Amino acid sequence: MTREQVLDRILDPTGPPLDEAEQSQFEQWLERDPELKAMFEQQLALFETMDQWETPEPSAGFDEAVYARIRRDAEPFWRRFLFASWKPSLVAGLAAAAVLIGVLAFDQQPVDEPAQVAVKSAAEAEYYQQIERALDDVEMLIDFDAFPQSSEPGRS
Amino acid sequence: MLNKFVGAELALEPDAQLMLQVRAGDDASFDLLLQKYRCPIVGYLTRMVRNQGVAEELGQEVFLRVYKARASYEPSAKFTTWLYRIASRVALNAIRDRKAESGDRSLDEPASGGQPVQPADSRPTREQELVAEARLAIVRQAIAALPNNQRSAVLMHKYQELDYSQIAAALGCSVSAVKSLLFRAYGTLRSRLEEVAINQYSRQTQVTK
Repeated sequence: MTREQVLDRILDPTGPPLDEAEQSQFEQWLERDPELKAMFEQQLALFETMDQWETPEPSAGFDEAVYARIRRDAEPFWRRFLFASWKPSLVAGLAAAAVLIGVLAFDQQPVDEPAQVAVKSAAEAEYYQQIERALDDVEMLIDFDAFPQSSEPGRS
Repeated sequence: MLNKFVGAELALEPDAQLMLQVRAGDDASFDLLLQKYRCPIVGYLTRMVRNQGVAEELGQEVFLRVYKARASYEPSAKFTTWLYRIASRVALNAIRDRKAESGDRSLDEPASGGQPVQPADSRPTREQELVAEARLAIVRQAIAALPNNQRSAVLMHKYQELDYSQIAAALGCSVSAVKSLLFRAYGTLRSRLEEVAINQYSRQTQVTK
């Protein structure tokens, strides 16, 4: 038995069983080589500690969850898309996006500055004055038309 | 020729036979495999990601992949080798994805015994229990800190009792690479445990002084 084989055995004590001669050689190696012996003892202590690491059993619904995933996986893509578990969050996300877009659109409407407002009202006043003057002119013309026409050129 | 084929079929291990039946459309055989391997697979994944909830989700993914791959299954290796290859890939992908998402944060959940426990009782039996718990916590942390391939190799070797060639097939590397991975990983764990033992010894000697 070589030193490498002894090392292998230390790391893999559950490997194929050693026959009597191999077991004897293994023990001789440990007696002769203190480094190997220390490693052997430390490895045993490590395995003993690791043996205490137990893991809980899978939860009761594990098998059902596996079969549910298999069924879901067998469904056509469009159906998985429509009935996906993330759909409610997609709807919520779309609603939030719509609200956000609305808020942004509202924010981006042009707001009249005070100077612009002043200019605008001056222009409006001018516009109304012009209309008033035009109406006055029309009234005056109507009054003018109300006088009897004494003669028309070329008729007398 | 026919005898040779029949002989090969008969020589197949029972799990591979079951998987061939699943391939032929027998869902009851899949159920048998699920019953047999759900505990070892979820146990392996729990030790890999150190989070029971995540491990169960990954376990479901593993069995889903087994079922989906039934049509292409060929019993070229032991069934467990094939199964742990899938489980290792799923676990390593999850660890990589989670690291990418969370900036190298581990999947650890606060587990009982996850932190070293300070002795609170002077009775020897309780003290021994606490020391054992503390040692286990240290070993668990040390295993979690191993590089992914070393951790997979150690867990498959120690807890799933896969031999070197099976681990090599599951990890997609050579047998000598597996030996090297295990040698380094166990060396790290032994030295970590040795540090704990030395610290405990020095604490005990201080107390007795």
